[in-house]
Amino acid sequence: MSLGTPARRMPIPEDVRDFLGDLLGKPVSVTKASKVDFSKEPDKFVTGLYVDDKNRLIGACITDISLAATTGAALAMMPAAVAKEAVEAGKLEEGLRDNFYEVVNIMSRLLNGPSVPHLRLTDLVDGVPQDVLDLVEKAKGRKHYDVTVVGYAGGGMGLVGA
Amino acid sequence: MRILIVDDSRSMRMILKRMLADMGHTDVVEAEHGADALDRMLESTPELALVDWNMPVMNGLEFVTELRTKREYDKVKVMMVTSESSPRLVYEALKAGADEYAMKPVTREVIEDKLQLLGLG
Repeated sequence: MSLGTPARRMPIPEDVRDFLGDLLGKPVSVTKASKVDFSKEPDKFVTGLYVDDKNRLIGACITDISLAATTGAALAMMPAAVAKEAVEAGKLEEGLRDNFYEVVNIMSRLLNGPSVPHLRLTDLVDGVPQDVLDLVEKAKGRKHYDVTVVGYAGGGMGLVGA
Repeated sequence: MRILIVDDSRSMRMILKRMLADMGHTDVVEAEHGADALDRMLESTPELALVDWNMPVMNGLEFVTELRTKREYDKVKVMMVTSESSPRLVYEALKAGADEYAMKPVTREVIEDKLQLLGLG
């Protein structure tokens, strides 16, 4: 009898808090959030696509623009006003986007483990693509968080892992 | 001590550079990927290279492998600084010739500990 592939361990809020705190060098608070329907207003989100070693989509990090701008700015010690401008514009300018890419890249570590398929970031896209929405529906692991970074606005994030 | 940071992320290079400066290391050279790093090393040989794993053109593992074929760089210490955390990849990096392995996000304390282990603290 096969026991099947173990479920990917999804990080608890404390994991995310400690991880982002170390990465950003600032106090971070993270709480569990209720599930978000990403299909309702996909334009409000930015999605990091995680693939396995055969380039198949097996995970995603979906954040609202506010959190993407917050972490992107905080990573590079940019003023909170820069993040606020991005939120008002509804999009990340190049510098913030590069910074946030690195945040999502490093976040992949939270989803990897010794007994589940290795995943890595392959792209960061605006909105939530349909294949990610499909993954959200069928993935074994899915968690939502509310994140605040001291001195910045914060926002919401969903992590998904097959 | 001259330190080479090899990372395709401009923000991560900046963070590491700032961290090193806080530790008193200001002779820092930056490269965007492995091939760029090899070019930079022709100009000046660092004592330590902090190397990311996933980069375009030449990744960190390819860089370390190539570096260890060149006898003139035998004394260059290599520390992988990457989000890749699987034991298999750590093993691959060390087997290729990396001297230390630090997982992102790194803190100043981690870098200091690793430098001590490398005899560079």
